Amino acid sequence: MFICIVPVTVFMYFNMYPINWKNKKRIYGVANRSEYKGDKESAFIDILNKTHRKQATIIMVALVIISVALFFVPTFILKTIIWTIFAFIDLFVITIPYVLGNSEMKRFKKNHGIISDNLLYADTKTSGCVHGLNIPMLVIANIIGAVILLISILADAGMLPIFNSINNLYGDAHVITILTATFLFTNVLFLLIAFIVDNSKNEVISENSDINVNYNRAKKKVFADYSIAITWIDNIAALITLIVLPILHSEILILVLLGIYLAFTMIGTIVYAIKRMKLDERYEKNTDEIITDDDDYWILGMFYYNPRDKRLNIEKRVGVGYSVNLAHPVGMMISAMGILSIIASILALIWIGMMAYTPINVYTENNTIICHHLWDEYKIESSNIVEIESGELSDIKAIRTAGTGLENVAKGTFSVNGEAGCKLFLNPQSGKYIKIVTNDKTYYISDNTADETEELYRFLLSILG
Amino acid sequence: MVIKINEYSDVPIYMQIRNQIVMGISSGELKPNEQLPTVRALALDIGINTMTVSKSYQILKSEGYILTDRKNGARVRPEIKQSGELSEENKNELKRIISEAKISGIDKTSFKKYIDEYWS
Repeated sequence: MFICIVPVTVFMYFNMYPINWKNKKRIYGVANRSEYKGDKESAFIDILNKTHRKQATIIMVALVIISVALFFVPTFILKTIIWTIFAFIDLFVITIPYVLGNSEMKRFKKNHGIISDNLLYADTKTSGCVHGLNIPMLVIANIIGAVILLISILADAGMLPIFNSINNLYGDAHVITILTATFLFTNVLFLLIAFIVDNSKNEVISENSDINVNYNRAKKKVFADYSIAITWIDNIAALITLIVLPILHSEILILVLLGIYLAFTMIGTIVYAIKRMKLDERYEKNTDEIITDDDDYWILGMFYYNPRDKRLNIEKRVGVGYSVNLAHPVGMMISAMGILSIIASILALIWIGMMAYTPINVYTENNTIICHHLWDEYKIESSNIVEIESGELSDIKAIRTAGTGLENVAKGTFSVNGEAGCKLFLNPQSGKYIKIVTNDKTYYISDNTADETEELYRFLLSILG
Repeated sequence: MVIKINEYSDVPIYMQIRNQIVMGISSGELKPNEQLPTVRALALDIGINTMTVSKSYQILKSEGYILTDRKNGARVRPEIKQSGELSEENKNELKRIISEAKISGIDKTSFKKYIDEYWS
């Protein structure tokens, strides 16, 4: 989270609150016009920019300090919950001075009698014929990704002997396919987005068609290069997973790999953002002025809502990349999905919190051992029990196949000491386990403490005679 | 050539596109045989319905300014038929413009200056 949130916050700060606003295409989401460059107007915008930049600086420094402080939050679960809430707050708070600036700029524009000329531009030389995407390169990268995925599927199907150790460990959980597919899923998204961006609207920034052609081609090429770079990062991450997994079976290793992957993805994104900003600055300086004035359609300078515009994807006003027209039916659906995913994240946090902080409950009823935790319940008939033993948790090595592995609860299907398909229901903090072998399954259970687990073990021995 | 569309103008958008392409051909910004954007691409760039652009192209084709075919799309006609005469519709339009100019107090010499400017 730190790898993602801090660079994004710093980037947003520099992108939203530039020192020299005169070189920028927009000021707080409002098109930068020659009318703003007069002495009086310029002095006003200088003060406005200075005030909001100062507020943003304080917010940005505070957010970075809080991010560092969050490293000291105890327990993994609490860290996850706080980081996720912090991510939402962070993105919201850093934009507050920008939203205020946007509202002041719109008022300033209105007070100066500047009204939109409602002109829409198109260049006959750029329309539909300016592209930057190297299709063969993107397709080759995706084919290689598909081959890696195919190898993963074959490995999980037991058709590649080199991966047998993994299959023995995880059973039918398709771990290799799930892991590589997680990385390669981004490829599919980028493949789709790369084509959408390459066929998106061409901007008219000059009366000179050659400048328009060069600008749009360069802009699309920068995004195309970024898409190809991300596809290769995904492929390499998936390939490393495929190679490393049979050698070292470790969840920590996968987490480290995920961290490195995120770091590379962030570096790729930052490089793209810098290239885009430099490109815009270069053309801003060298072109005559054509301004498409659609400021009024940008709610808070960030959300585009224009029922008269038939386009779906629109270049963002702030930051880099593309946004959607909220008035477009598909745009409405995408925003609804965005809102739903935020709600889902909050619900997921509540669920994780309940999982982590609800103690497990093990009891017997009518000669049946019942393991109960929230919605999950395991029932072990005493008549089915073949063998029972207790031991120290440090003596067993459990690898999760499907289920929950939190600090206070481990439940679901695990591979224990090389035996696949074992059912776990224990509190890892207790340090002890009770192994119950039945006719068809092996269970590893515990109570919340070592003493309670020992007491449970003695009780089970007594009822089993 | 840059096409500028005013979405709040009294002139329908398809006529604005038609007029600007005609002006582009006249000024030489659009050369004979020059490829024009596809209906879909131009509609996407302006942010309007494809039917609107299609209507403009149909008018331009029927007036003999452009050629369209499925394979090559739309292009400026290499040799536009020159009748050497002003159409009745344009004569009426010119009459209206001259009348408005007279009412506005523009004398003939000043009006001719405008003609010279736009003619070149």
